[in-house]
Amino acid sequence: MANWRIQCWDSSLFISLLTAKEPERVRTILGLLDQHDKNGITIIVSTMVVAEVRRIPRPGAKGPAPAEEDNVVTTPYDPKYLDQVRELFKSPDLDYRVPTPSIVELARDIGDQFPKLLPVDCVHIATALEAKADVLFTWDGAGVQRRRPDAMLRYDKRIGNPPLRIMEPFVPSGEMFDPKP
Amino acid sequence: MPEEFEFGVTLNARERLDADTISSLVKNILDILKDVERQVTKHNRATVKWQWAEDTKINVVATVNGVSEDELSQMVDIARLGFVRASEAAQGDQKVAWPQEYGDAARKGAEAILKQLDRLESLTIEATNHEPIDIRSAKVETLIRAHAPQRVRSSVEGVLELISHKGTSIRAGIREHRTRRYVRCSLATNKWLDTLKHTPLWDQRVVVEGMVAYDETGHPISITDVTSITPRQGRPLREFEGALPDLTNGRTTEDFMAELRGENG
Repeated sequence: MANWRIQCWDSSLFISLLTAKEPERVRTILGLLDQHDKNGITIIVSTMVVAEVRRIPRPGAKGPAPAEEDNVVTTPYDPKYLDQVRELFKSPDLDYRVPTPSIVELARDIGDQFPKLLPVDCVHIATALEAKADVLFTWDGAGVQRRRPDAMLRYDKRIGNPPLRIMEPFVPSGEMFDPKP
Repeated sequence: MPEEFEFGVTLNARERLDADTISSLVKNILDILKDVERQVTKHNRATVKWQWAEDTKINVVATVNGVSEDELSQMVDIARLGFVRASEAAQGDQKVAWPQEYGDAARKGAEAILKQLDRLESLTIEATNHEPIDIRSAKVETLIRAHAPQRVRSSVEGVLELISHKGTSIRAGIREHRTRRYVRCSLATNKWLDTLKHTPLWDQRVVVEGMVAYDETGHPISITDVTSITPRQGRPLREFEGALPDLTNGRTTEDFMAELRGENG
């Protein structure tokens, strides 16, 4: 029975931690890190996460014109940005998994079966399955009644054998209080 | 919970041990484990398959005792030569021209070792005064070839352990983080010796990048052609709370993720 001890985290947790705009989420992440410090949980992360925590164009940003591809309006550049992101992903709290041949093959098979899932999400899911994670935590698709067809949360208990739990992060507090595996 | 469970005995001796002692030690350890298994499982048969935990490198040494220095030197030369001849025979698919001094027992011993090739990447033979040779195919009764695994550029993370350093190669092991699985690591002396002398990497948690071979279950088994070894030292995650408040440019995490991943709905 899953005891939520082996967790796979996707990029949304790191983005929420770095921005700290949603206090409830930050509390959840810090609660999980408390458990990690007490050797209660293992945090598995696909190295794909490193490529996903980055700037994106500002909403409505025009262009780019040909040969101007590196000149897209993003968040104003702060020199500490890259350093912070680099430092974050050096943290010894994380247990990285690279997309090995067997993981990407599994990701391809998942994508074949669930074509609305994006390749990178299939890699996160395959990574969690390969690591025998109890749960893949994500906020992708959270907070809305009708989830996008590609939102990972929509695929909870749909993939793998036993089916992988894909859930919004929560701090495990014991069998009585936790969701059923 | 580790994925591998190890049991080991180290004989901390003041002098070198007989090769016979080592061969008995392996048998004794297996006897213990099999007996305990039968008691624990209450089954009549022990079924656990115990594997050699680290690099399977067995080197024996001798000093002048009973034979002369010349004879000892000749002995290791000839022992090596038998393997060279078996390897050469494979090139032309000919009969092995065993050295004259290879009696029945030596030939059978060499053949038994060479037959292992069909489940190895290669065999390395070392002898004093000779560079190590890597054997990838040999003629025994039939032609036996080692299987070169498919390797991909990737990385392995864990604690770096020194095994030995001889000639052109530093043999190390990586004890994988969390699973505690052992991954063989081969480092080119000319590329890595200086770095390893001046940077505290041994017994540290590191990320090693190179060409990785995986077993059929997808676990890494060895890494060669290493291009980087990076210590895994960083700050705890909690220190990054609110470190980049403007990262998403005012979007919620979900909107940011959807945009980043190119909304597929």
